[in-house]
Amino acid sequence: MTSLLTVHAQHWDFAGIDGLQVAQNLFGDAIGRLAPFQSAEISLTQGHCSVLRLCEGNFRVGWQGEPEIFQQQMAQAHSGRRVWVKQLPWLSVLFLAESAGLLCLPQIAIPKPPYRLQAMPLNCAIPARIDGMSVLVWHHPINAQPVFELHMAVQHLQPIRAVLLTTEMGTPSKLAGAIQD
Amino acid sequence: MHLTISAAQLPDSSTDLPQPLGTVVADYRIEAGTAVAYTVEAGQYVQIIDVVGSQCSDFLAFAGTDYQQELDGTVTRTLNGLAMPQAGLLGKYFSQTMQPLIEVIQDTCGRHDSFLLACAAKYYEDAGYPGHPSCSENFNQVLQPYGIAARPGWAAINFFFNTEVDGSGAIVAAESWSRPGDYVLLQAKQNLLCASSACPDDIDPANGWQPTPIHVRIYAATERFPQAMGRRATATAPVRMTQPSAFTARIQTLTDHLSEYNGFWVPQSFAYRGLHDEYWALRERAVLLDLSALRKFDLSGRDALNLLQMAFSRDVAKLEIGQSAYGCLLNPHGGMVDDGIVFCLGEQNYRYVGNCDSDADWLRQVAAQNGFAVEIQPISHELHNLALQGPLSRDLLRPLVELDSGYGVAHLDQMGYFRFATGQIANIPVLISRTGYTGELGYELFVHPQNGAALWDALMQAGQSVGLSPMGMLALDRARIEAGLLAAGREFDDLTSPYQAGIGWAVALKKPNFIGKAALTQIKPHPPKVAVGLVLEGNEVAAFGQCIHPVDAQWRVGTITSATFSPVLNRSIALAQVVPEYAAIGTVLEVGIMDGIKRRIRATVGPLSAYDPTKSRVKS
Repeated sequence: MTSLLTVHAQHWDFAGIDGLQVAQNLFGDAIGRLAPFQSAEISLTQGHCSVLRLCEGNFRVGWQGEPEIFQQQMAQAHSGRRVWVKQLPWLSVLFLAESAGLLCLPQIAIPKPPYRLQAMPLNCAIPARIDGMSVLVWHHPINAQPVFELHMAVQHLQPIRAVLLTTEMGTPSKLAGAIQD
Repeated sequence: MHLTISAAQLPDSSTDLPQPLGTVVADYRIEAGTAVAYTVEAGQYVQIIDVVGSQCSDFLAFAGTDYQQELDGTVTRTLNGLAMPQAGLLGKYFSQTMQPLIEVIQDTCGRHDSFLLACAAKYYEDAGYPGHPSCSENFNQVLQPYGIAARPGWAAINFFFNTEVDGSGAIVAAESWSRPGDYVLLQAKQNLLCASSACPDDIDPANGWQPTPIHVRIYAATERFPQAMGRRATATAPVRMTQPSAFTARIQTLTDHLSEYNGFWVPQSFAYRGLHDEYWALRERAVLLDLSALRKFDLSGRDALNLLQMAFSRDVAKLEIGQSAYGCLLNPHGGMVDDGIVFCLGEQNYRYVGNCDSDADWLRQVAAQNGFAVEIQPISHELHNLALQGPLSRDLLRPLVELDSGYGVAHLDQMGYFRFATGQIANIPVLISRTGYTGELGYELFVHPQNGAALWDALMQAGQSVGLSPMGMLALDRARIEAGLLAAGREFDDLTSPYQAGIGWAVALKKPNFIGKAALTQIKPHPPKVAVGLVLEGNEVAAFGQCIHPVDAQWRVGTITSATFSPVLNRSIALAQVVPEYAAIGTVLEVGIMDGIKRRIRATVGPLSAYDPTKSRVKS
């Protein structure tokens, strides 16, 4: 399936009472202007970050660079702060070319109200379901190219990949009249 | 002695039903103390009507070929984050597999139970009534033909059942709030088997000691009923259903995140923007928000001024035509009935803009008691309003505005703080008031609803050049807390004096006479509490009702009324009311979070307005 992209990125989550302050230490004060489910692209020393805010003090970072570099920078930023930093072993990621996402996702993804999928701008994410499976749809640029990054449980990686493949081949699998939760 | 209340003393349940809302495809009369089962197709509506009032109606719903999906109150509470779904975004009832079964479309009662079982035999047995009919047993009987096994107690949704979890954790029940004709309108999301009861409980107040019938109507799926919650402003007022404002249709193109607020559908935040984006747009550029939920009343006549001098806290006699003043309506013990703004439209013409429909009743009562010749005309339906706020709001508005003469303001730049004029924006008649609720330079624009959409479009179009953003209530609440501005139910109610709420400056004690003057004269030197701002150490945000203590002391000196994280200050801040002895600027206190003793956060007393305490921005 050509629309699925290979991106070498590691994902790190951090959250806690001081989550915003750690994000500001790492990425600058402007990161505080993101609303939940908004993101920013930020270049750090020896690497690039895609930063998605999930809640007031919850952030997810897609890091393109050497893992040790990010760990060092994170260690400095969160020293003495009340946050946890983890790579989530149960979370998997798919990268979808923007053109394929614009074609497939409206057919198969049901956003959770009040979120919307139509006309979804860059640097935004929404929670949604594909065939009943939870997926976070994140629209943002990677290496200056807009992509849809899909986050899902590890066990849903292959089923969602299959749905995407089926849909791209012209047989959308979204159930007619599927119920929006 | 045996007393019987005859059916004749109760309203005629066959004729006192409210008019059907649409095309009825089925009717079910559930006689007192019984239950019925009925099927509903996906998309159809179920209206459960309390015919006589004070009558509970327990409800079950099943989906699936073998009825294996059933309505689950715990799942529903968890997914909605509410004790009961409400019409709107959080209106669905879910099954145990988290599938939506049915959705609240309208509700004129607003008080139901989702915690307790439908009444069961055991309840009556333990109370000394073995053999008493119960909703659960009635459900067992009507569901048996569908092959659904009997249960000793059904976990139902108990419509009109008035329960509450009190501070000790006890679930307390009392007589239903529902009145004759009150109803819940639901829409099935799947084909359903439903069961409804008319609860037989006559051994406690739940049904007013007198079980009565319930009526169920099923409406066609082709009907389209607007989502609405019914509220009553006063004991005698009719139910008022949630309304869209003149701007709601435009707003709904930009967000699905709307909630019921004070009788209107108002946006909480906007799609792909969000609280933070909207907040920064306010602080740095300009925002547009719908505040049509404010209530407007015109006061006219020989004694219009006298009435306001008697009922309103400010000295309205000092207002010139084109000038307004913020203050509050007072009650005799000095409590705040409401806060609002009085506009001087003419020598005998004033406008009061506040929060409550009941303000008109209070003003009429004061007028009658004093023999004032004044007409009080509610005009909320004739005036909806937008707030255009932010440092660039004047720049945005300037080229669009033409002001009428007669208000002493020729140009927008001459319009000072708390000044207003009528005029036109993009040829649309408006009243432009330089007021707001954000702590920023801004304007409030009052327009006839028929011109609302055009005004919204004109402003959004013109605002593109300055980065105008729509703003929702979430960002507004953050901004008003930063600015130290009061919210009804948080900073004040009718037991709170203006001195406690932090607007003692808005009380004109030098007026010869006004309602509450005697009480406020006594309260002013030493109010029981005074309003302060707090800046907390660390990043945790306090919450309404949390207690405030002296450092290392067990006893309380106050409570939090509102709290937020201030983006512009990058600090956790709060509004609080504390005893005067601990209200001095710089005093260090502790906020007890969680249970109040597990963790205390140090907080320093500051001005009520943490952001721009000198109000330089609103006056700029």
